[in-house]
Amino acid sequence: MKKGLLFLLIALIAPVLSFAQAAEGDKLIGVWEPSHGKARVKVEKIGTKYYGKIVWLKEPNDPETKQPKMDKNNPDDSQRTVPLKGYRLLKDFVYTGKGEWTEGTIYDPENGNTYKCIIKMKDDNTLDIRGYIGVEALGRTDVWKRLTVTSK
Amino acid sequence: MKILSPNKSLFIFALAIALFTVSCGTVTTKTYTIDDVTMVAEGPLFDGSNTLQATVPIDLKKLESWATAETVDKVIVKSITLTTTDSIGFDRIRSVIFQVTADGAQMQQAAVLNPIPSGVSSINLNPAMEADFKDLFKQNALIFVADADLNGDMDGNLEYKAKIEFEVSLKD
Repeated sequence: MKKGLLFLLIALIAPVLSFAQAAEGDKLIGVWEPSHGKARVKVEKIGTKYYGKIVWLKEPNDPETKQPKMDKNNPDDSQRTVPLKGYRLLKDFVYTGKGEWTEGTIYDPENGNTYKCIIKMKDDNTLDIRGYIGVEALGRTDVWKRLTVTSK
Repeated sequence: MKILSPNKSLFIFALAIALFTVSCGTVTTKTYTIDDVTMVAEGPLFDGSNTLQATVPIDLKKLESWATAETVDKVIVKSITLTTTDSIGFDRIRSVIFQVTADGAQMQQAAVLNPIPSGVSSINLNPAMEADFKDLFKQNALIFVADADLNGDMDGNLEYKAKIEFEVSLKD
């Protein structure tokens, strides 16, 4: 009888906790600006994971070609015509609790490299984005700020 | 030291090759076609990149009755075709990037078309030659993600029909 009540309690509470966890994870959704100010990244949810794509570039055109910048450093030759504006550079992030999203990667179009990445939310409008190879301690952290929409 | 005759050496060599081949297993390559997939981005839509999505279940038994996630050896994309039936066609779309993801595997970029020719209602994207979708094909369902770069704002939805062909190598 007691075991039955315990299982019932778990069955009732688990979905509530899961929903709360998902709501916390969705705090990452929005438009963010890296510290260099050259781009803005829109984070959205696809399935159960979070992804971020470039939606604005300070310098959208290649100075040599005068055309919209493309992913010219991609290690896959067949994908070098992908426009940078719209490029999905944050991929596969999973919310693991305590304001952290892990298991994702960040792509650097400046050199065509993909790095493992951890995102930590310092407050509702500030993120620590840490990209690394192999060991997290050997990475680099950048601070991103949320862009807020102001009404006219 | 006893030296083997040429015939015996050849026999042992052939036996070794045969044993090696059997231990590696036989690889079967088949085309897995996913057709008539409706991908939608709900409006209002804005100038720039807009995301169309669709979730599709995977059934490896369509390839071989014995196929399972463990037998998937390699998967590459052969072709991706997007078709629109509205009067606008793709005239308002500058480019399309197509990606595939799943809850239990990492997103892979599958194809791109940039720029898009004018006056067409169907486009064939350029597939990513070096992407391997093996881990994605081991999941129960795939999520197709198309990022369409829209020229200007739009009130309605974007809707495409997608046909995707994968080349799947199975090892028994």
